[in-house]
Amino acid sequence: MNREMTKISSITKELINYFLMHDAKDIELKIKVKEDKTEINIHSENIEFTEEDMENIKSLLNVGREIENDEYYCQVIGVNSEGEELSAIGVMVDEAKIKWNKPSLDISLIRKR
Amino acid sequence: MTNNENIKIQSSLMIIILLSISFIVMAFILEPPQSLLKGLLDIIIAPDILLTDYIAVGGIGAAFLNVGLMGLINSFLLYRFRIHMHGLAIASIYTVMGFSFIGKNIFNLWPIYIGGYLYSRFKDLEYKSIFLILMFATTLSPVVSEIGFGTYLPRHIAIPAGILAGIVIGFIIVPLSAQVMKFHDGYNLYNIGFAGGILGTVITSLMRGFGININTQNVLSYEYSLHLCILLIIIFVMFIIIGYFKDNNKLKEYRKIFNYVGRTATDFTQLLGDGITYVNMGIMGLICIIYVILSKGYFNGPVLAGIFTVVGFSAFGKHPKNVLPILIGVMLSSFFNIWDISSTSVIIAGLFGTTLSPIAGKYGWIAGIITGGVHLAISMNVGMVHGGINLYNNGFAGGIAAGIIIPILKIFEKEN
Repeated sequence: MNREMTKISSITKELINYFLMHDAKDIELKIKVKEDKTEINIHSENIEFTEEDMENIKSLLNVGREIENDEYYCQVIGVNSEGEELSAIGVMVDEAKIKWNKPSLDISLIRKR
Repeated sequence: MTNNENIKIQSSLMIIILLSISFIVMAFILEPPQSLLKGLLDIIIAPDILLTDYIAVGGIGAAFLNVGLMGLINSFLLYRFRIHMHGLAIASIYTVMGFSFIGKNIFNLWPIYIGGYLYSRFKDLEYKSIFLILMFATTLSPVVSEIGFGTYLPRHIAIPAGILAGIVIGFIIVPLSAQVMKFHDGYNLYNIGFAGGILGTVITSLMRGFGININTQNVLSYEYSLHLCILLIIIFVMFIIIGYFKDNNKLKEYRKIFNYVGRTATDFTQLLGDGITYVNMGIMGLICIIYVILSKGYFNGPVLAGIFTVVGFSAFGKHPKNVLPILIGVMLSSFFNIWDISSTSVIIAGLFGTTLSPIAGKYGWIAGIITGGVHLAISMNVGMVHGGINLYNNGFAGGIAAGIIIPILKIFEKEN
């Protein structure tokens, strides 16, 4: 697996960990690999999620891409099974959209090459 | 990148540049230029293995000059690569500046940066995406000096061989550090120190196989302890003042910092803002000073390296609540074992032992205190394995400690 795909894999693993830690009863994951970017979408129809979680995730995923942290953070995320490294995902993606219609949660991420 | 972001980069870098210039000015006040140059040369040709206090090797002026120049060189590179001065960058530059008191110098950092550059070209990566890892990777820069100036080989062979060894280290350290992260689940903040310890062990073993003996040493200074203590207090009080002026409205939210476990990738500049981050850095610096005083230790090169590293990582995971249990654990265990609590080795085991602060952050005070004790025992023994060529000996020890302690703690975790 090349470095870019390793990073995508780490990001998705971290997202899955996060959903499982929030007691998601069902998880759908969709990854679209395109020439210039990769789109990741994760969705659950039934997840334990609060206002505070929403505020937290919004700020963490929207910090903006920082290429200088890419390799270091890639080492960190997905390692632990507790889904605590969302801030690392935030600096590895270019766009993040979060939709929460209680009890469903949908997160869409775009990472440009 | 927004205009605000530009200003942020400049102001955080400016603090480091001003600090670096202050060290250089102090160097010229303390010693005449000729003496400084001689001292700097002595620092460059010293073998640099642990513990080599540059204040003892080249004099306090030359040590300050080396720290200031290292700060400026790395600030320039951070600026040149347009690296955001967020938590990881702050941690890396303060770590580099701290270790410029005990092993990193204006000569031995370049081969590792060059090796990293070659790796980035080889793997078609942007150099800036690995530069912060390379800054930490200079933990193995003593390899360059040890081979170049510390062996029986003639200089015209030894120096190129040392440079080549540094380039090879720079080339392989990035994938190696990724590999070892899994061992401790990210609970050892100085992961590159763990990678460096493993690589250093391999290098030392190979060199010993060729009859080149590398052993740890103790070249320490004691005569400037009070002056260095006062200097540190001034710096850290200024950090608190800077934090206040950066964002005084949010300072009442400082307590929020205690909610963070502090595992790798806890960037306080992004989570809580620059104001709280600088206040935390200042407070943590003062806590370190109190720890050294309570231990009846001296402020010298290694202790300054430890304090600067803790302060840098106070932008990236460390705060009083997750650090104090580790420090207490080291102090308590040193009462019951053979090591002298006031010795530089034990004091830096405590300071650098805070690499394990995420364990205290996650599992609480008792786990943190026990972890501190375990870390002290390991750190006092693993130096001989790599012969002191890995400057982050405590990162190596911390990786081993976390790799053992975390699975045990997980046994007692509730399933739900």
